[in-house]
Amino acid sequence: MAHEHHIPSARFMTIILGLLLTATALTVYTALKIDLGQVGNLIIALLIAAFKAALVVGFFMHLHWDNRFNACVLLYCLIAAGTFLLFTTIDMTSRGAVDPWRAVTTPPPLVDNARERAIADGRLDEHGNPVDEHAEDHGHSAESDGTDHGADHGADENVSH
Amino acid sequence: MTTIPAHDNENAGAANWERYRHQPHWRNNQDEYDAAKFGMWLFLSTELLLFSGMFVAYTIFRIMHTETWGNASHHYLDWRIGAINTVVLLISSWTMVMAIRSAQVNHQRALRFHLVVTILCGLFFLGAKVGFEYLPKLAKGEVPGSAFDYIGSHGYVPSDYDPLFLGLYWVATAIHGSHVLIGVGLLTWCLLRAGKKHFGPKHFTALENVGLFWHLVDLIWIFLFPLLYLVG
Amino acid sequence: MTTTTAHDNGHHGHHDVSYLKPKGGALVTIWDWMTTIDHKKIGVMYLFATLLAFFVGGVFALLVRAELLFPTVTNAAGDVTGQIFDPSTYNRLFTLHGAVMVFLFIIPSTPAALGNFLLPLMIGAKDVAFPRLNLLSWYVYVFGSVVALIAIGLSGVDTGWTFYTPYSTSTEGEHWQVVFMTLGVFILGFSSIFTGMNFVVTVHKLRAPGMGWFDMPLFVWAIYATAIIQVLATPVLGVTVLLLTLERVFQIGFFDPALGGDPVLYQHFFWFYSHPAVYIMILPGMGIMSELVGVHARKKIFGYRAVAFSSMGIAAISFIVWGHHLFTSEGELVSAIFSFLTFLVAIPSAIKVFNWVATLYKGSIAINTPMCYALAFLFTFSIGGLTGIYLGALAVDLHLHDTYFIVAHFHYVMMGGAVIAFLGGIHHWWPKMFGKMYDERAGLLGFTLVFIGFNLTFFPQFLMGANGMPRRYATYVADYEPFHQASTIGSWILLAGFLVHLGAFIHSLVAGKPAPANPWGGLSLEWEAESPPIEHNFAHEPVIHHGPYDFDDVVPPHCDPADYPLPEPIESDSVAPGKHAH
Repeated sequence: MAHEHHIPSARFMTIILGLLLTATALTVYTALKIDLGQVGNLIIALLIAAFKAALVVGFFMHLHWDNRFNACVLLYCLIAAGTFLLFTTIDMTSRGAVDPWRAVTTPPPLVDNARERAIADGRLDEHGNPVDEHAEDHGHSAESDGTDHGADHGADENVSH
Repeated sequence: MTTIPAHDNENAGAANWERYRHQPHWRNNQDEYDAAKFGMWLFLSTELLLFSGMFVAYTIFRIMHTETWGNASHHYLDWRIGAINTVVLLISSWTMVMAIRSAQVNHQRALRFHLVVTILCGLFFLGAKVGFEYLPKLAKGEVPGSAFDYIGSHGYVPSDYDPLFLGLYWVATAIHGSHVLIGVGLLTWCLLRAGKKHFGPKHFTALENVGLFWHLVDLIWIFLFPLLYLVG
Repeated sequence: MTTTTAHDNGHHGHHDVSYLKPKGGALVTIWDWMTTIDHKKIGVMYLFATLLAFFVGGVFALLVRAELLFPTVTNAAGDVTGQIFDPSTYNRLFTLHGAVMVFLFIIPSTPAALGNFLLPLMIGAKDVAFPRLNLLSWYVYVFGSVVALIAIGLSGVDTGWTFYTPYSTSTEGEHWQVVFMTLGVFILGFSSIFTGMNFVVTVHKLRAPGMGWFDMPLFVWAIYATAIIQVLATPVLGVTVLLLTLERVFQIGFFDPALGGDPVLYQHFFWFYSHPAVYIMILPGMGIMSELVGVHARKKIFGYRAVAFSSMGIAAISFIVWGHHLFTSEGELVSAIFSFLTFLVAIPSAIKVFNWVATLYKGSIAINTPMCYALAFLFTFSIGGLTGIYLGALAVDLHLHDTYFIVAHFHYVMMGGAVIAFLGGIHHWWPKMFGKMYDERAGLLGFTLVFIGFNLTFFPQFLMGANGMPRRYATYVADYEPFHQASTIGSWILLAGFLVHLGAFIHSLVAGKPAPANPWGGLSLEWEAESPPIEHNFAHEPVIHHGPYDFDDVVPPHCDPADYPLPEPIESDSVAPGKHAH
């Protein structure tokens, strides 16, 4: 039975690893240094990710040498997931085309709540700007990696300087 | 995995993997191996579909709140931690492949060595995740829902939908992280069995299937990393 | 569990005794059952567990119907009449009825109980592919049920079985009930996935030598299609209820528009699983139908391949129609697409119905309990299926949405289809499972009561629904009173029918006649095993010599040939009038 298993060479697998690492570097580089717009960058990132995924599935997971039925399982699974994504996205992008009320969303309160809490316990002043007091040490501001130091010069400094 | 006791078998002196006998309802070892692997692929497809829910949610919310997604991912998440973790997981995938290869060619020492490295990589991933991301975020209030208590820094003012982005980040990475944790557990089990020479050229079903699971964990991260940390 | 066996004469060796034969004293036997990896014992345990769930869900249903016997009226003086339960209790009752029936009974009933018992027997295997995973799935089922029962114990949930947001995320004072209920559903999902994986691999890898894909009984095809749906759809239910639990506990906001989320997204998530799940419920019933019609009409099944492929077709189409549950909430474009796709499901379903009817034509139809249930299925499932077409039509659905028309439609499919087939299947395979015959007259009496009770309960609901009676209300205006009262009286007749069946089964276990190996003259492999089967199913690995429905040219094994004479040979050039070419 053992003769039926494909035993890949170590060298081949190391080359695959090299490709994967290179592709990772490429993803980071294109995302941070090349601006193709939010959608353009997304497409590039997904293409590279799909390439990496194909390498992992095909060679690390041995699917290239494996029983074709296992590949069918993966294919059916991807079709099901794709269907899920496709129809939900069609709904989300076209809802409200006839009846505008279907597309209405209401503004969220969580961020405002957080700011109100911060104003109430003195982490922000009454205008919502940072204050320079660190004496209270809430455990929230103490951890914030120097973020509040920017406001050290005075409470009047605007948040978005 | 049934192991025939030594006194039952004429190969009493042989290594454990040589004495492996299939369960009684199978016709031979090969059928059992194929079935186990087929079952594993079915299970992996359920895992992919579980994560597909997270990717659908990501797509929908990105369409609804495109601007928030672009800003929040760069502000809340440090791509360097994500990139290091990606590299670590890719390397661990390679060592997993090498572990199975070592079993196939009966290099027991190499098998154990590669499994240990794989486990260490998994632990590193979890450590980096918790130490550099989860704990600081908890401390700063960068959490989803009513616990959101972040007021901005470095001139960044949280937008209306930041808690939702953080919700997606936390849930997706936590589900993924729990899979890493389960994977580390399974690898440890494999390591213990490898110590008893359960895996060799004629029998490595469990090792192969744990390997498949571990690659799946890697596979999910290959998509989560750019989507959450890079392009937003 | 019964402790008697019909075949005490087969003591050839340790493995040649009936699987029901106790291993020792009571404790030893219980331990043996608790730790068994025998698919037959696990199937029987599933059968009892799901029947228990059916009883619990049925009690909730009877309470719901009891409340609706009279409308709740508050007169000028403030006196309330006609009320048994207050509205919030009523909400809990219908929620629990739905949740228990769907997740605890109907999804595991046929695949996990009958499927587990029969699948390996039918394909000539000793067990399922992963016996220990099978036992695990049983324990996961029990554990998930217990978690869900905790929710019921904590006064229950009133969200409806679909757990729609915002009911499920914001109703006051039911925090932990909802959490336990959804976690229970999450756990039950794993049980379903394990069963599905097991069956897919079993069908692929463990068929007896000589059994090709098209030599399998059609029940196996149906179970295979069901298992594929279980594997591909259930994980999405898992992530849905997981997100719902997190939403409830941490308010993450995925489904809350006030936090930037979208409640309709929840409905997409939920129905991406739950629509295919409807086929998890009905497909095994269709598989049972094929067996009942073929064996009890003693006819080769008409269009074997068409029936087999229609099972796979239903499995495939089931994934692209979920949006028809959302016609009133989702976008207009996608509603139109889903409405079109929904009609496609009618094609494979109709293929099956036509083929069963064609099989009956000139068959030698035995009027016994299994066959009566098969005929009832044809009647009720056709009504259920055709009213589904009304509901799939976008414009009509906007009128009928959330009315009793929907309630009647899915009860005609789920109960008139899945449960009636399940009852027929239990009667059909009861002699095989327990080695005892049931009393045919009691079976027919039970069938008559169930059939009348079922139609009396649910047919008036079509009329009410078309006239606008909304579902899930604890009261109604006086115009609907006759319909509701007929429906409630029908539910009592149904109860009587089930009690007759229960009595007949208990009588059979205690004092039934020993069953022969092949009481119906079936040709599929399970009838070649003993009744009840020996521990490893077959003394020798079976080899396939004939198809499962070759009634025209094979004398069934283990049968008296005098009872089953071969038909007159037909000259090839002179086709007898009305004789089908297969």
